[in-house]
Amino acid sequence: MSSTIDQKEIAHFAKDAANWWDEDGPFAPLHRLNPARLSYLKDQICGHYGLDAKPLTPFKDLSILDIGCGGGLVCEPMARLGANVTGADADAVAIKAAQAHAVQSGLDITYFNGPAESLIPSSQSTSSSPLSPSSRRRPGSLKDNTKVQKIPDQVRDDGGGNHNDGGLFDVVLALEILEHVSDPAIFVQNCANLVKPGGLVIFSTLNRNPKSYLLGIIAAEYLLRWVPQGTHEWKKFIKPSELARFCRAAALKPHDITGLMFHPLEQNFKLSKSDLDVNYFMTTTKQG
Amino acid sequence: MSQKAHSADITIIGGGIAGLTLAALLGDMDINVHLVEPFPPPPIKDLKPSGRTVALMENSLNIIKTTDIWNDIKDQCAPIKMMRVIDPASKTREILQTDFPASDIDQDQFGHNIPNALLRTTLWQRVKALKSVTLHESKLSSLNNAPNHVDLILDNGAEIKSPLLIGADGRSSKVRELLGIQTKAQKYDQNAITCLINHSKSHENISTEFHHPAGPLALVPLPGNQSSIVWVEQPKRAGALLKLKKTEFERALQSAMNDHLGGITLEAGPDMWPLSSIKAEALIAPRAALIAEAAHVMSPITAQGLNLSLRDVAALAETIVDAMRLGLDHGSATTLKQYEKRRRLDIGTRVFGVDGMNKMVSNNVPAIKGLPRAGLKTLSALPPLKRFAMEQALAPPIDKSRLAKGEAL
Repeated sequence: MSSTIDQKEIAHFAKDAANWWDEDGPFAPLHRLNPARLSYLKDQICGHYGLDAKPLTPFKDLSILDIGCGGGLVCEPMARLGANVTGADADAVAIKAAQAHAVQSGLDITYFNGPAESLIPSSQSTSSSPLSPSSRRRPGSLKDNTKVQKIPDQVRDDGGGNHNDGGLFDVVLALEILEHVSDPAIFVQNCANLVKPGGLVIFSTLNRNPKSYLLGIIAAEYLLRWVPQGTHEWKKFIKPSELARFCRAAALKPHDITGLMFHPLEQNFKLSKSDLDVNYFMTTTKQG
Repeated sequence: MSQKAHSADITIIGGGIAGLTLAALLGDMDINVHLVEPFPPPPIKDLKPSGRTVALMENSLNIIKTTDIWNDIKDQCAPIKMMRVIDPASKTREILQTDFPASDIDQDQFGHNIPNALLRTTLWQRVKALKSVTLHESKLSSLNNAPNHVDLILDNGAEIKSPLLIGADGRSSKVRELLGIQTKAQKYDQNAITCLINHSKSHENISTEFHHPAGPLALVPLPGNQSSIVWVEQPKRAGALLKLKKTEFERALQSAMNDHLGGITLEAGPDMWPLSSIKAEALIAPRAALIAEAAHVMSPITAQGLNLSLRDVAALAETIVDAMRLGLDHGSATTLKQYEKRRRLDIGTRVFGVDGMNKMVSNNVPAIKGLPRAGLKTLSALPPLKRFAMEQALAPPIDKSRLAKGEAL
């Protein structure tokens, strides 16, 4: 198994995990960013699977894995939209906060504390997996501190192919996490191993250029104090061209890149097709 | 409903026109709505003629039309094709009449005059027919905030757990009181008399407003030769008018109307209530929002009260559904702040705007009394300005609501 978890990163977020859901708390920027990014995710997923966006539960036949789910800020909306959601995070405190909040919200979400790559069914994994294929048990259920409520069995065949897609997801989300992992190329490969052929992997991350250093680190961490100092390491930021290269190496075909810009006057985030300088999304489809 | 524990997506306290419209709009989207109302309206067959009507402007009517009830009531409503303002003659001035035709703003009509009771009963039946709406014929007794929802207890013992609570329970809102939201109130030295009249001359679908020194008198058309009346008077005089015999009251009203619609007979009323304005100091609280008269009460003279309330309904319905379409928590502070932001300006300017107009048209001080007349003269002389004023008063572009534009939720 190739773990991409960086221990220093986990320690950093654990301090704030209890405050995940305070809209004015330390994660306020994520709450503010959420409408724009949910809107992007919904558009991409509805577009890819040909779903009508008007009804309130368009994702009711989809399984979604959110890697680096934190306190569940994206998992809960995906679950409300009808999806069968699994959230994975290496931070045990964040997962506990996420589980507690899902219960308060009356939502049925599977949370998993550990590296997402351990969710890869053994037949797909490039290295040994802690999952015993014969037991069909999820790694989460093997851990004493994480109650996994249900196993996301993707045994149903949605007509997407003749493959055995047990354990694989229709959509894998990796949002604001690439810039925190130790080896993004392996991370991208792991994401690809978790999605069904023809399924979507959607990334969002920070570009690496002088503007993103100015806005993503100096402004966000030091001037506006949106995120605690030390949240990001600029050298780990990834250019769209680099991400696209990692994707293609993992049989993920990029087909949409959209920027996310902060509007200081309206104090909110907006999507932009042209400005990828700081935050951007990349939507990819698993080949095969 | 039985006395058990319920779980709702949205709980609306108050089954007036605003609360029912919101329930109909959200229920139609298959949202799990609970509505609490102790006094359901009587069935259609038991409705009595009444002078209590509401003039809904076209954009408000679009909101009502989305609930699919318009075809059931439209025959009992009258279009308003012209607004006429009459300043009666005084010692120093001749009578002044100013007409504002809807054609000036490229409309067939400004709106429709609708009997309140008919609208409420029809909405109630519509809501009752929706599977996703649960009606509780009871009252709110207590409310407790939990981290992600409110726990409500009703008088009949039923309990409702809901991530969002809507106070649509009118000017003496229990929700507002339980949330600890203060109000600013203004009482006027005026009472409003309402009644329903038959008249010998046609109203020609013109809504007429006389600007008498004691307060305005409005004649609002209904189908046939019938009009609803809102007559604002000083309390003493209003009380005396109500004590008159039927024929004496008719004579007094016909005289106040300058015989404008010919001979009149009283069909229903008169009823009387004191005029007041109330404004809640906050529109939202954790997991709760106020709409309509729970948030604002205005004196009825410019027919803006329910129009304003329906814009609350549209803004809140759209905010809730937009949040739900992104999978966001529709009762979160972020969502509620959006509703508050959308409504702040419209409510703020209108509650005080109407106050100001009311004081201006009823003021006896000559220097001030000259103002509305001068104002109207100026408007008559300058069509573009007049057009602008009408659009501001009748079709406010303040809130960009898709429901008000006639689009789907």
